[in-house]
Amino acid sequence: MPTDTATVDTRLFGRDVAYSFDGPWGAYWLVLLRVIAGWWFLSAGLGKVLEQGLLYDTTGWLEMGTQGSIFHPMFEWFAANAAFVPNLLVPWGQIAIGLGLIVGCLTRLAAANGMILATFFYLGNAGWTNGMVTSELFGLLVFATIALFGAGRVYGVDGYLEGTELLERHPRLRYMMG
Amino acid sequence: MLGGGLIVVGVVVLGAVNTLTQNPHLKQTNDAGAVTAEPLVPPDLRAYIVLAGLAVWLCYGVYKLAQPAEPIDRQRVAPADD
Repeated sequence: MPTDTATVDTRLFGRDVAYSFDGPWGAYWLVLLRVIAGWWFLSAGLGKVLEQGLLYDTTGWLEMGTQGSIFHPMFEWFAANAAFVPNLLVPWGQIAIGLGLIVGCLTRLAAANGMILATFFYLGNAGWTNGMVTSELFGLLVFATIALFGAGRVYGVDGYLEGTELLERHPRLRYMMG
Repeated sequence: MLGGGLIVVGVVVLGAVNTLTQNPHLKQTNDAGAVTAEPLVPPDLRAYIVLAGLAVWLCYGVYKLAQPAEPIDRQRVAPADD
């Protein structure tokens, strides 16, 4: 593997920050994170759809699983009045996010939506029996890392889309890509 | 910066406050259900602070998306060789 380095040279909180890191290893690591996080959500979403069909029944989790959490009043309202929204968005959102991350297509959009879902899973936690640092928090941070570092350009569809006319016509799309 | 700061305060700083003051992170009850010890900083308050941090990130993301996009040739400009 070549040993090219990438350099971060910026100001943070008023102080100059500069350091170098191994570019190929950085890119390799981003792809690994993206594919593993993608499979985490894709397998979770597929499991729900294969188990229960097109709409997954989330009402049990919304009403009982999140009891005592800060999101519980909102979740209870959804369970009583608009259960189809989470029933549709949880499994299909997970599948879309997972696929987007694995193939690296609109990676930042997929990761941002993953952050939103992970926020619901994280703060829907009521017991905090294992403290406030949970697997959901780490999932959320992995999605944030993927969104931040443009992971879709490495072995991803976003890398291909970057050179197309589509992006010239719609430059805003760049913010949704990796 | 603000978003990450709030998340660190909610998760790490207030967690350290509970630990260093020898308070539990969660309400402790005995077998009869009576409360025997309570955290100095309740977990709900910490969760709201974390939520505020995540909301700041969301607002920043929406702001970046909503502002006019720069033309492609002005994005990702390579540093000049000088």
